[in-house]
Amino acid sequence: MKLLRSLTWRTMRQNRARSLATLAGILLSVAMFTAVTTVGVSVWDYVYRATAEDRGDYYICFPRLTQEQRDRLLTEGNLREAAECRNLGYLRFAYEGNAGYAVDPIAAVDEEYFSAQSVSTSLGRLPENDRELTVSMAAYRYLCRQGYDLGDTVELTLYDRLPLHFYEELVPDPEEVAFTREYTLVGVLDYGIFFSQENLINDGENQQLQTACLTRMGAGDQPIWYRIYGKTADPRAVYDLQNGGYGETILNDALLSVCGAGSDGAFPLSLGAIYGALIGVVLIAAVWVISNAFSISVSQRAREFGLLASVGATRKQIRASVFTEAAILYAMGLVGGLAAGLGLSWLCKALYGSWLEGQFSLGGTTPVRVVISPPALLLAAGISGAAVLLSAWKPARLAGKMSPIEAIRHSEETRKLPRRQGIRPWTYRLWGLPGVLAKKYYAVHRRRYRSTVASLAVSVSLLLCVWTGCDMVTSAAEASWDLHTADFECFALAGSEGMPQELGDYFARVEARPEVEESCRFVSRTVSMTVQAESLSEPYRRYLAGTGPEALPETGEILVEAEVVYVQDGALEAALAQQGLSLDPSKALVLRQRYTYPDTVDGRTRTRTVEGSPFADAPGAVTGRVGSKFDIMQRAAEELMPGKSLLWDGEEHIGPGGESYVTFLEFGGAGTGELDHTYLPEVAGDQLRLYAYDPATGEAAAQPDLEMDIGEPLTLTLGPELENAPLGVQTKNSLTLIYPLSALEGEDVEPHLAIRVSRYASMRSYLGEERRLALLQVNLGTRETGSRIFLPDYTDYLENEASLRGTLALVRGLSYGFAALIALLATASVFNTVSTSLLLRRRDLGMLRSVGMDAGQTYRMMLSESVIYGVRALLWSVPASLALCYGFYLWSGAVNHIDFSMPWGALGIACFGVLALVLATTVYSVARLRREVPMEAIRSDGI
Amino acid sequence: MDILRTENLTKRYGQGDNAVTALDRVSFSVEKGEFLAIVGPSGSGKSTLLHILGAVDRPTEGKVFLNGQDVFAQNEDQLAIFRRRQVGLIYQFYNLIPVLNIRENITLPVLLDGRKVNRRRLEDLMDLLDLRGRDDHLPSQLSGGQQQRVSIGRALMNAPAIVLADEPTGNLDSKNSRQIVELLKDSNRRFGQTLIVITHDPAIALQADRIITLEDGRIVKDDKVQ
Repeated sequence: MKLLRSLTWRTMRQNRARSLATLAGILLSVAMFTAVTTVGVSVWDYVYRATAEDRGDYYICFPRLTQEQRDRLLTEGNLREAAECRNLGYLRFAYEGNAGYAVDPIAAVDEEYFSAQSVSTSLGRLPENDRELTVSMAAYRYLCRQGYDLGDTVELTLYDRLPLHFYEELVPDPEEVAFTREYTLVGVLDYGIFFSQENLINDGENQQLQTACLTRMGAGDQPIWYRIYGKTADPRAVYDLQNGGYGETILNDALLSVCGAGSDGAFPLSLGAIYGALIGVVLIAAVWVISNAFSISVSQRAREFGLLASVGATRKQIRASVFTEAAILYAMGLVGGLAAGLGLSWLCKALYGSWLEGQFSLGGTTPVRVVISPPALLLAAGISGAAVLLSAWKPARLAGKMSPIEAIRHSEETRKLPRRQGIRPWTYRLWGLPGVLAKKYYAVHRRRYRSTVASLAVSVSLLLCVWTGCDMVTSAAEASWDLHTADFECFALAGSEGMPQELGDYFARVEARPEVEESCRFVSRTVSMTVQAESLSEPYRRYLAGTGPEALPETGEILVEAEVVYVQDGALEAALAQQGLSLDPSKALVLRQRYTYPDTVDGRTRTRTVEGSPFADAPGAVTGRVGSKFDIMQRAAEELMPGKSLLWDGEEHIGPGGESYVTFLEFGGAGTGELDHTYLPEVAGDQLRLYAYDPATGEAAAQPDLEMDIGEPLTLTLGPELENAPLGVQTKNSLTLIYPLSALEGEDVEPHLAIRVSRYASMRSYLGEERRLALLQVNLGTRETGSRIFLPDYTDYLENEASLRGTLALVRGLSYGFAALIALLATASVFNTVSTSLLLRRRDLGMLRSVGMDAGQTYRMMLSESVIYGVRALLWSVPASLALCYGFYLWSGAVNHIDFSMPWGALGIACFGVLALVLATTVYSVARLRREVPMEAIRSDGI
Repeated sequence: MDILRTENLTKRYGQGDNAVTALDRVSFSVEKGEFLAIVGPSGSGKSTLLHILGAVDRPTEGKVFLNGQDVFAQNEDQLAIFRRRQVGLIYQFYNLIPVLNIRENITLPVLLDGRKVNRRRLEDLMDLLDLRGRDDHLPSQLSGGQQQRVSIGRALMNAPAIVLADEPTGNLDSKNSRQIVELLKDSNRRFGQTLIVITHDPAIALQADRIITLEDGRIVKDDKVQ
């Protein structure tokens, strides 16, 4: 066996080019596995840390513990990490301008608390002992007005309870106790996590209880209650602790989800699925390439194996020789591959790190980092080792089964040639001798070239599919974007209504800025209504035809959705004049608002067959997209249900009686994600009535909860199509009807202001400052107008668009990167096959040269051969991948309303790439062979 | 008249202490139409000499002149043309192209030269070599003697000035050996070609016009056969 190992080693050294190509394949495979696992771990690590920063680095919180519970939890709770926070009492500050007063709990925390909760300061520092206090911004402002500043010692009055009697259980004495403590002010807190945690112990309505002050735990503390933030060794163990008799518990579900122990577990599942798929594809590609390399190695060593077998080597020994080669190459490729994989991971981080930070960082500052995880590296090494083993398996068995005499004669391949191999005169004239020889050699080595053809075909297919897929995704995404003609849109936040003066002043300030090149005030509305299909203009019909799931009827009443934008007087006329157009009052479209109601889905046709329902007699069935009327409804609902969050759902549901209904309005509890109410609508004349509906029983309330006025039919005059819409009008995604703002005269509307600017950064800074100042004034209670608060805000369309394009670029980059990696593997495979195939034919080439074949003829022969398999690969892959792309288009394109475009660019690159690759490999190999004199090549056939 | 002349031909393999000298300053000349036999023990440099004469190997030192022209002063493409037009090389192990059939193997030098195959000459050769009916066979489908005859056909097809044969009967039985030697002699006579044969067989050597004996890469004897 030692001799065989030595022989294997010597053969590898002798055939350095083949060994290097195989090594390159193994190295690339290890690198890809390493990159996939390392990037996976790094992404997980980033999401974990970003979530921990945002939601706290703990699995479970015990918000109100007695001392006995606290002690029991710390001794019996099996917590891996525990951070403690003690409530010492409550400060009550009468803030200026507010009718009531704020309640700030003082929390004494331990060192671990700062790890579990990412608390930082905006001024000063965090407390270091139990006499120091870091206060909230609101408390700081209050204390400043009292003449204190950081570094001062202040005597504070603390109360032992909230004024709202939340803690009767813990503090049965109804009399509240006040006491004083001295603290040195050392800092101002700058993070909301603690506050949001505090929110969990109040009723969610006392908005002033959102602040806290921190000190450190001391020996003399007399806590009112204790709070523990804990982590268990197994995240799932927190569910046992919930029932451990510790009272109320709060799970950090976001972090538990990241750990795969959340209630849904969606994140690790999806991440795992993506990486599983990636590893699967890489594994297949790697096994393919490496297996190909070993097959070639076995072919090259066939004579050697034959001779060994003829002198008594067993099959096992010959197989061992192949596995020895695999082991040596794997050992050599492992270290380099791991290093290259880590390098790739760094590259990914450099390219996409900031994008990832933008996607997940919810106000935090967590940076993406490459995590060098030994288990991940071990996994990569293990998988690639398995890939090498799998790859060597078949060739090793083949080597073991080889007939000694066939191997020695090397005649197996030529036996596959058809018996008649004569050169027909026309063939010779057409191809020339080099071409005919190439054809013959291709026929002989067809099997060896099969993997080359397949490698090339897979790479080409991948490139074409990725290219077309990215194009389709880009087109679909761009079609769905709300691209605006404006750079910014300024408006007032909800709650600002009724202050036209404040808003007008704000707009005037913005318009006066030197950065503003163009501005336009506008009001945008989305209206859904029924319309006679035959009255639709051709452009609107085209638009509608592309938006609905069903064919647009030629006649009859249909539901349509219209974007109606009222632009500042003069802006529409100016846009029309730019095109040499004017308003055409002859084209009128009568629209009437109408709503859907419960119906039954019968295939693609909806009919009204709900029996026993109070809505059975509601007028008019509709076709089209039922979800398209919610913009109108949302406004009404917000007005009617202030303080509630709304969840919109246009889905159809099947009730217990088999009837189908459309969830029309659903009101959810604040932040819980659970639905409180489902309403069903009824249209009665010009009134819309909403009845509380129970989907479980299918019953609706007898009396409506809400009634709304639908309004009079609306007549819109359609003008010509505009190429350049005025500012404020979306450029895509909908057909928009544009009218002068004066058409809304008399209505109580809040216009928005669209602006186009010359200096983006400067304007954004200005608008941000306007918003910040307004918020500050609100905080200080000095910015009130009656019962309303004016809050200016803006939408940054340029940034949105850049972000959308960035996301697309990332998807494109990742896809191309992945395709490039597979192409790299394929390149290694092709290079390996072609160069080794040529080396195996050294002797033949030597013989041909010895009878007078010159360099040009040699190149022509080899290039013809390369072109044969290159073209063959293209012939297989191009139609197959185009069919695949078209299938994908048919599947997804029809939904996204995009046109299929031939990927000419990708086709060009693929054809050029394939030919360039085979050309380069051939030229390299032939050049190498031609460096030796013919006799050396002829002599090479033997051990 | 000398058709071939060598001057101080030296061939060394390896370098330094491992260097082996296969040919050591070999100089001789051959007349046009002469039948020269080169004999000598194994490892004496016979094959190396023949391969250098056929321009399929390069000397470390020294020169080869054919018709007064320095063979190795030519570039690689000129050497290729030289090999296909001026030299017919017959190897001990035939060295046929496995993917080409018999007819294609024989006509290969002509096809490489881009010339039209002389059908009459091909037919004559096929008759002479007793390969009739095997035109479309691949080399792997022939016996050793038949393969050697094909390799002779390939060497003679282009009517080269010199035919070089490296132990052409080394792998053949006595009957086949006799036939091959007769064939070569016949060709030598009929086409006036210069024939240089390497052989271990004294009987074949004695049929030559002249015998050169090599030992350790040097000419130790150069005799005319009476």
